[in-house]
Amino acid sequence: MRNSLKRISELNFENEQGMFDSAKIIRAEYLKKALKSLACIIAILTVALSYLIFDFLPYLDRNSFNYLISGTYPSGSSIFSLDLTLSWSLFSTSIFLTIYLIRAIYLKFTPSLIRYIERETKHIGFEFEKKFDSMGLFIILNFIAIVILFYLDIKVLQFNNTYLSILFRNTFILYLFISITLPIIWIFKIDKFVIKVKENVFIQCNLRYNLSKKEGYNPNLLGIILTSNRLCSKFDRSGKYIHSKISENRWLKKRDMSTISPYLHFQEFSVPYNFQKQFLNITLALNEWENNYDSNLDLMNYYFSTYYKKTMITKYPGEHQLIYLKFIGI
Amino acid sequence: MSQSYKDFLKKYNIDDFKTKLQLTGRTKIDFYNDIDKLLRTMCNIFDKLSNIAPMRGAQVLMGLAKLHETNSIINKTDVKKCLNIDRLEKLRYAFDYLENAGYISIEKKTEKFHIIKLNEEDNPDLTVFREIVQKYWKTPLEEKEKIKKWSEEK
Repeated sequence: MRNSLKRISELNFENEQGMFDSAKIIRAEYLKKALKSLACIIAILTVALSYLIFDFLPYLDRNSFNYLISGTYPSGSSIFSLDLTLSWSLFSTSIFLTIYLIRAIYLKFTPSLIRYIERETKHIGFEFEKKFDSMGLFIILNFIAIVILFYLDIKVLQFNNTYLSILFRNTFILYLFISITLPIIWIFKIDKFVIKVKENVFIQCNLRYNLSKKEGYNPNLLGIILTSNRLCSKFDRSGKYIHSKISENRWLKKRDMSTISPYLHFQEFSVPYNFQKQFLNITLALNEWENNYDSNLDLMNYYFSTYYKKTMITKYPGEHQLIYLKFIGI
Repeated sequence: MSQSYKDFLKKYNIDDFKTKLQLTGRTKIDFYNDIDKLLRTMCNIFDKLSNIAPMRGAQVLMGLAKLHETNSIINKTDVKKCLNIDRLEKLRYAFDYLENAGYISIEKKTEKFHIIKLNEEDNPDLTVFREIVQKYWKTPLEEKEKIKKWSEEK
């Protein structure tokens, strides 16, 4: 009940004072979120390290993974029946959650800002979505790993054949490796705040603001970087030309922030005050891209040589000039 | 297609009264296209200026465009003086915004000396903007000096 009544502050960017107050609210919310995440990270690492030092290292000293799979144990070893399951659960969960929480700190969106952007996007007929699929993937992959480890622990899964045992061990180690690395890759690649424009067309939102109170610090500058989906390879010359022309006409940022990426994206800078307008600008750029990139010179020549000559002149003689103007670059 | 008002004048010899302006056929279409392009650019400039978030943002952009006429190196203080603003802090948000939006470039020579330029390379519309501002706009400093001069007249 208490949680459901939790109040999300209203942000107002319409005047200087409102802007200043809103920036203060966002900063306070962010600090709260960052502290919570840090506390969680410390708790997780403490539990994991305690387990490693007091339980897992002494256990490794006595047993090994190989022995458990083959079903034979060194004499005199004491084995806790769910050691592998517990160790892996703790290990994978702590690594994944630590990276997940660090990423959450890096993404500076706060509840009130999310609500503000949600409203603004809804007003222009789109939806601001939080795509955090890595957690789901991690749960699925790790559930399977834990089930197999549990069967190993209770000795339901055992191999008498050495070849099968080695094959299973190697495959399973590979699976364990994938089950932890793939969700981590997803944290960086897939988890993001996006606005879906249409199928395969979306705009990613990233927040940028400065928390430090050094000289030159600007409390009001709260930037939202809008980045489109991939357009084409940076080595595609015609794509690069069209991208450059659209960016110039729409005053979009031409220097892509992710210089490592081999793909072209549109990028626009906005602040909450002009978020709607800048979003429309980048969306219309995507629309222009779709219209221009696909309909390349060949298509235009084809249109010119066949359809235009045969149909347009005879059917619509009054539109000669308009069509001509269109193709000479207006 | 001209990206500059000056180029447009030069292309059709409009400011040369000895040459007759003859527009026929293709030239007429080119002329129309160029005028249309200029108006479109100006509309784009209005649209962008009206959407620059900080209240001083558009002023900074205009001040900078004007200063390009006389100064080869412009720093933040020049813009502040040109806009007749008492404290540089009032413009800080505007500078940050314009830099982030890619409308200006700031080269930090030292901690306090920053060279500012209009980013015409990435935004060619700014060329027409600069030309119009340089030709027709009076800076607050110029206006202030004019008024001062007038008030001192007997």
